[in-house]
Amino acid sequence: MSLKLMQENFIQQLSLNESSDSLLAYLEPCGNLFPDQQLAIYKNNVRGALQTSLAQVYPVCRKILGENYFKQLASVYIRSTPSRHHDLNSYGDSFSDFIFTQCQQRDELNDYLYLSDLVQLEWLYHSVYYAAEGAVFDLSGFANLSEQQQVKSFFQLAPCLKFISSDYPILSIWQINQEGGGDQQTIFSQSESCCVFRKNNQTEMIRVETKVYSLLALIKEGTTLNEIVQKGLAAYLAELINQGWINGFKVSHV
Amino acid sequence: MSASFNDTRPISGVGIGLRSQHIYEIITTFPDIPWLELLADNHLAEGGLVTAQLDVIAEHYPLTLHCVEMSLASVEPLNKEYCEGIKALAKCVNASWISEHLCFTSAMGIHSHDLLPIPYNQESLNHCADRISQIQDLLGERILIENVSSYMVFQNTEMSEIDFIVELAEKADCYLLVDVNNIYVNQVNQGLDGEHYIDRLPLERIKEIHLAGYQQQDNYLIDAHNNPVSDPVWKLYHRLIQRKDDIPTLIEWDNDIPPLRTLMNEATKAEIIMQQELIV
Repeated sequence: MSLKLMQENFIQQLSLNESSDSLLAYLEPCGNLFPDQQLAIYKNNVRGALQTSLAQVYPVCRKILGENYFKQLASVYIRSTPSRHHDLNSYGDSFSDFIFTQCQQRDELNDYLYLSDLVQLEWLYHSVYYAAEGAVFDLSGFANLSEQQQVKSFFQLAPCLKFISSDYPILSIWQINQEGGGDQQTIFSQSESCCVFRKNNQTEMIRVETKVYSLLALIKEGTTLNEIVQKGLAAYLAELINQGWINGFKVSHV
Repeated sequence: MSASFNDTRPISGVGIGLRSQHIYEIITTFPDIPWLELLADNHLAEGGLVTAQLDVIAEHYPLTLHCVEMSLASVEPLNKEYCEGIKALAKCVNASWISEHLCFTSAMGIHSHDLLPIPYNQESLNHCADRISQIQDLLGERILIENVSSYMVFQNTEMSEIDFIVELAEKADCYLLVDVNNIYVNQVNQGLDGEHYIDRLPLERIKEIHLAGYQQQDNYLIDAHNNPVSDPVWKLYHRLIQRKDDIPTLIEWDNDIPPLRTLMNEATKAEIIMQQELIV
């Protein structure tokens, strides 16, 4: 068996759970370990690393579902979703979609329809931690633009800012599941929009008004200042710049 | 091949593998540790707490980089973006050198996040030598390659691990990082002769030694890095230090991480062995 074929066989057995005897036939007993035991050690290592990673990224989901049930779901996810990036911190970005499907398919998850959004919030919290800081908004540079240039300009959001809107009170649920987070009774059954951002090396999550969320979504889409003004959202811009959430601008030459 | 980003402060004595659990203590108390090794992959992110704290650490301690995803033995195309990231990090923290494991971690675009073994034969030797040369050209300096724990034996292995490593280091003109715990784990699991292995190592190529603890399973050892260094590993270490007493040594602890003091105590044990040999 060539080196290439061996590596492909090995990775398929580890990650895609494909059963093939070709790799096993290629192994020799090693001390006390027979070929199937040798392979089992690596399978255990690989799945264990991905399990640990998911458990660390999604502690609130884990708490809500319970350790064992979370582990079961994570195992199903891992079997269908091999890691495609060298950075283990990138693993699990589609867990929210997976949870959404599971909530549709499993009777026992009927009461957890909010979970997919909550998982997405946890993913944002995780990814903001590793995101770049980004530049500081160049106020004087913007002030030096002509009025015509200003209205045609686009704003840029800081890489360490993420936002999400949900039909469920996901931030409230997240907060009461933190240590000393309060009482389940305090949750209101309402939608919530929230921002996750890093400031002074601390990751924070806060609820934001629907209009702020809409403005952030428009900026992300590349809406010009002129359009923002027309939609009546320009009054919030100064605050977003102050917060460091808007950290740059580009002038349209169209 | 010359070094391009080496720190001028020497790497000597017994260092410690830096883990996030200890960063706060290190940047607030600056304990007396001669050097630190970074798990490079944990510091490739563009931002975050750890990245900010790294500047302070790099200012106070000589650093080396230890990588896990160069996938030295992989037949996939080299991940140049990853290697460039490592090179940039090395420059940023003035790393004295870069090390990587002799294994593959990915195939078919899938990452195992584990150190997967290869058969020790001519095909692997040629492939690894070419790949290491390619990486060294890209980085602009020689790397250290580390022997790994292996729980697998391939039918088409043609040579012993130590013969493979000696020949590879020569062919690729790279340095060695000798993980003594891995030698012992392979001794128990595969029956290789640890003492013979130590005696065969080409001293002129060894730049660093790793010491760690294994975990005993029912009928084999696993390289879990979650325990103190074991007595048999200390003995093998002593044997190596008897051959050359000034090889920089590192204490690694990756799981069930104890207080920094515990790691420093392990480092002191290694330091004592080094000092004894210096006196002799």
